[in-house]
Amino acid sequence: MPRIELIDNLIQLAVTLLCCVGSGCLYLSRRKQEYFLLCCFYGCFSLGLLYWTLFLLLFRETPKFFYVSETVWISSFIFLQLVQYTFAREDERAFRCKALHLVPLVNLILLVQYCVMDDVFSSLLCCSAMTIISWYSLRGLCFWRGRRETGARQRRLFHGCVLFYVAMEYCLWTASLFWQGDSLANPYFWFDFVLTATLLALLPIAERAVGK
Amino acid sequence: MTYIENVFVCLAAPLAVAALCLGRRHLRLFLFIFAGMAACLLSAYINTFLTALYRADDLHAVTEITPVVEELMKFFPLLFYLLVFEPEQDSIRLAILTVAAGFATFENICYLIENGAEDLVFLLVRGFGTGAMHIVCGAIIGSGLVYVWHRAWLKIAGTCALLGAAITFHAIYNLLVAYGGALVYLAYILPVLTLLLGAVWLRLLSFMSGHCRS
Repeated sequence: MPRIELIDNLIQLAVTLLCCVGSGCLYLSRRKQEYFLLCCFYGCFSLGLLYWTLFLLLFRETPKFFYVSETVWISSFIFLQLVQYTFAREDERAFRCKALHLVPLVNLILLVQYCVMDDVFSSLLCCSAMTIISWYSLRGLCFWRGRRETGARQRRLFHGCVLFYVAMEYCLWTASLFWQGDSLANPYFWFDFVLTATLLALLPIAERAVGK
Repeated sequence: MTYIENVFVCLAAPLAVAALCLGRRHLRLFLFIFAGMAACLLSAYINTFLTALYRADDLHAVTEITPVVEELMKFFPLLFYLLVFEPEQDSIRLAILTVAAGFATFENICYLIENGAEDLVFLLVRGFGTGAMHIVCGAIIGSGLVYVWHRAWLKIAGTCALLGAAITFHAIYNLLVAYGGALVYLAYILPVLTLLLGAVWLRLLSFMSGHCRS
């Protein structure tokens, strides 16, 4: 029985479910679209994880043939993109800078690596979603850099948190390609624990940025 | 070997005659039932093809490939209906539930042909379990689409998420059934329980919204 992986998944499942309920309660009390979308993001993420964890718990292996969890995880990425889009101001959406050219370049390199070493279709879907998310968050970071308006710091923090989430996802996927067994020495688990912490931190950070 | 296309023709023939007799008013309902049964037939072919392509064993085929293929095949007739006819909210729910019912009926008939019909109690439990599971998956998509299809910003993400939720629910059900033992009974209860919880939740929501308005 892969114990560390199971514990890791169960912790992440508990955290995402907690955040889903938290953002759902925030939506019911404040009626803001961002909270509804965040609730959907966490809900989809936890649903995919529930299937993944159940599979691991019952059959002591992870799903390897087809895209069950991937369908809801891709949906969760789309919801995160919608959060970012809803969150951005009109002038922020139109903002462009040279640093943004880095986003497709880095994502393309990683995509090629995943296509060579892993499944092409799911890599294509996940990397496309991550490219859009990282584009939005880097654009937000560049736009709000040096601004002294109310809420600028909170928005920078939100975009930074999302960018860090993307980086952790990439680290996780890369580490999964070089699987080192079910032990804490495996970097996969370090990244996954940090990813769980990032997911937990995202809700209060988003709550501060959206405001009342 | 089961000749499911022959079963399909045999089941569709009396329904087609009934549809012709009842006229245009009820034609839509029959078309959705045909669509559900045809989706089940095509799912069987695609499942077999993908299982051979990935060289998957029975367990992986049932828990990983089947849920994705079946839910997608059930969704395609509805997607066509939504895109071409742009129906009212009530029609969306009716369409997906009828497609799901047609799918579940055809699947049950194929199961009976393959496994016999001696044990009535087991068939009753299985019938309600699997039948209700397809209806729950239909209800997830149907009730969700009523909400998301009229909000342009949520259309794509919402549709993907609903489809993903239905696929995952279906996969979890198949996972529990494939594991066997006491979990099979949990799997059979799960869809009915979800339907009941969903009904209670909807009542509660409508009560709360009525209470807020008053």
